[in-house]
Formats: sequence, C-alpha cells, structure tokens
Amino acid sequence: MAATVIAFVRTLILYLLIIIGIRLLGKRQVGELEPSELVVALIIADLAAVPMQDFGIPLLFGVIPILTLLALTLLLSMLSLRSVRFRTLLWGRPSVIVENGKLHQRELARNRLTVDELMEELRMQGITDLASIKYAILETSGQLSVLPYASQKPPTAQVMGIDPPENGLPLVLISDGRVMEHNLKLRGYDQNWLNKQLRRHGVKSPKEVYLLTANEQGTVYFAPKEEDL
Amino acid sequence: MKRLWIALALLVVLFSGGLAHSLWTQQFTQQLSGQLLQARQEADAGRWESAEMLTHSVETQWEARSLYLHIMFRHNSLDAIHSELAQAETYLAHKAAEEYAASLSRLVTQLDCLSHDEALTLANIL
Repeated sequence: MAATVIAFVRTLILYLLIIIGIRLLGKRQVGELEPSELVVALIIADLAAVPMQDFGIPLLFGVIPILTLLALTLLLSMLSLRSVRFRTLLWGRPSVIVENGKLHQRELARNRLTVDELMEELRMQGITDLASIKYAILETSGQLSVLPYASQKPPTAQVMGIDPPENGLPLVLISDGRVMEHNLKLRGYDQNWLNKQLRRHGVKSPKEVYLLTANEQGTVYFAPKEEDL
Repeated sequence: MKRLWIALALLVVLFSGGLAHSLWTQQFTQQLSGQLLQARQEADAGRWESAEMLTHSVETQWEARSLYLHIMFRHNSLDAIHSELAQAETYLAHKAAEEYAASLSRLVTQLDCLSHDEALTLANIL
C-alpha cells in the first residue's frame, strides 16, 4: 500500500514540475519545438520516469536534472531572444532550398534532405511543380516554408477589388449550457439581449443551448443542445 | 529579462546547493568515521563503556539526519550503513572485539564511499 502511495505522490510531484516547467518555457515551445528543445523534452520525460518507478532513488535525483534542464533552456531561449548572433549559433539559420524555381542542391545536401523528402513536403503543401516556387525555405524548426510566385498565389479580395465586411472575432456567449458572462460584457450585451436571442431561437433557458456565438457585427450563431446529450 | 534572472538564479541555487551538500556530506561522514575509529581504539583497549557511548552517538547522529539523508542519497547505500550500525551494536553488546572491529571498518569504508560519491571530482563527473 505504502509503495502505491509513494508512486502516486512521486508521479504527482514530477508531473506538476514538468507542467510548470513547460508552462514557464512559453507557448512557442509547446507548439513548435526546436531540435534542441525536442531533445530537452525527451530527456525530461526519461528523467521523470526513473524516480517515478524506483523508490530507492531519491526524488531529487529526478527533480534536480529536470530543473537544471528547464533553467538552461529558459536561459538559452532568453539569450537567443536578445542576441541575433547567439540565436544563429544556437539554432542555425534558415536554408533557402529553392530560389526562383532553381533547386539548391548544396543546401539540400547540407541539411541532409533528400529530393524525395522535399517533393513529399511540397506535395503536402499542394505544390507539385518546382518551377512555380519563388522560395522554399527550410526553417530552423525543420519545417519547410514555401512561397510561390505572385502569379501562382490565389487572388485576394483586395486584388479582385472586393471589399468584404469585416466580421471580426466571434465570441462564445453560451457554451454547453453555461453563459459566458465575461464574453457577454465584452461584446457589450446584457442578460435582456441574451433572453431575446433565446426566445427568437425558441428556447427558454441557456441550459438548452449547446453553442451561441456573436461576432462584432452582431451576427449570431445558434446551436441547440441535442436531446440525448 | 525577469525570466533570464530567474533561470540564472535557479542554476546558481542548484549548483551552490549541490556544493553545500557535498561539503556537508564530507564533514558529516568524517565526523562519524572519526568517532567510529575512536570507538574501535577504546574497544581494543578494553574500555567497552566508552566504545558503546561513541557507537550510540554515531547512531543517534545518523538517525537524527535520516530524513535529509533519504532525500539526498540512494536508499540502498543508507540501508547498508543502517544495518551495519545495528550489527556493530550487537557485537558491542556481546563484547565480540574482532567482529566489532571488522564491523566498524566496514562502516568507515561505507561512509567514505558515501562521501566520495558526493564529491565534486573529475572521476565522479566522468
């Protein structure tokens, strides 16, 4: 029984520590990991797993390396934010793989990217013809950014001379039966307006609503709750 | 900027904490080893009461820092020292001079190992 409780408490501590650490690193790291950050994430996972399972090892043997890694990553992130030279040293530079439809074979080789992998990446971005690419850049995160020639880009409303209305961000006012008071105030509405909307859509209470949003133009999206939900 | 200082402060705290722990371990184990060697000399001279007092003192000091030791050291090393201390107490109770001396020697070696494992040396780093 004691061992089970110890396992539970240790896991809880290590899990919270990792969550706090990852949160401290910032949102960018969660979404798009740089290679070195990916390594840190993998090491942290491994470091946390050992003291979680082996109770003969002090918890600190997992906590100290994790804290050290997090502090180092944070430090390097902050230093690379402040210095371009340091950033280049640490993360490298983006590589131009394709320029004006011409393949830079040396850059491909330098990044150990095969033509097959490049073509696969391009196909995933809906591009099949290398000649239609103005620039293809291999970012430091390992992602490929493809910029087609202006003539190959889909036309925008501005190019076509159309002035579509700007609807703005729709805010959720009712989510799964719960009224989002903060969003309601933010949009400049009150309970009377909400009641009016509910009556208009044939419901009596917010509890009968699954989703209700309103954009800056006042356009309302309404989805009633399904019976068996 | 705040995050930079937090990261730096954390690294400094971790490093200096590690150093302080290493120094404390060295001091603590040397102190215990000294008392154990003294206890052995007392036992060799037939002064069993004095040897008993010194061994008890070591055990008391060890138990008093039990929580800290368990937080900072591998538990199997601590368990080995703990059981050897109990063994020494038994030999002491029976006034078994040779076994007692051998047990104290093992204890001193184990304490030395504990201290060496925590020292900031190239051998430990590599």
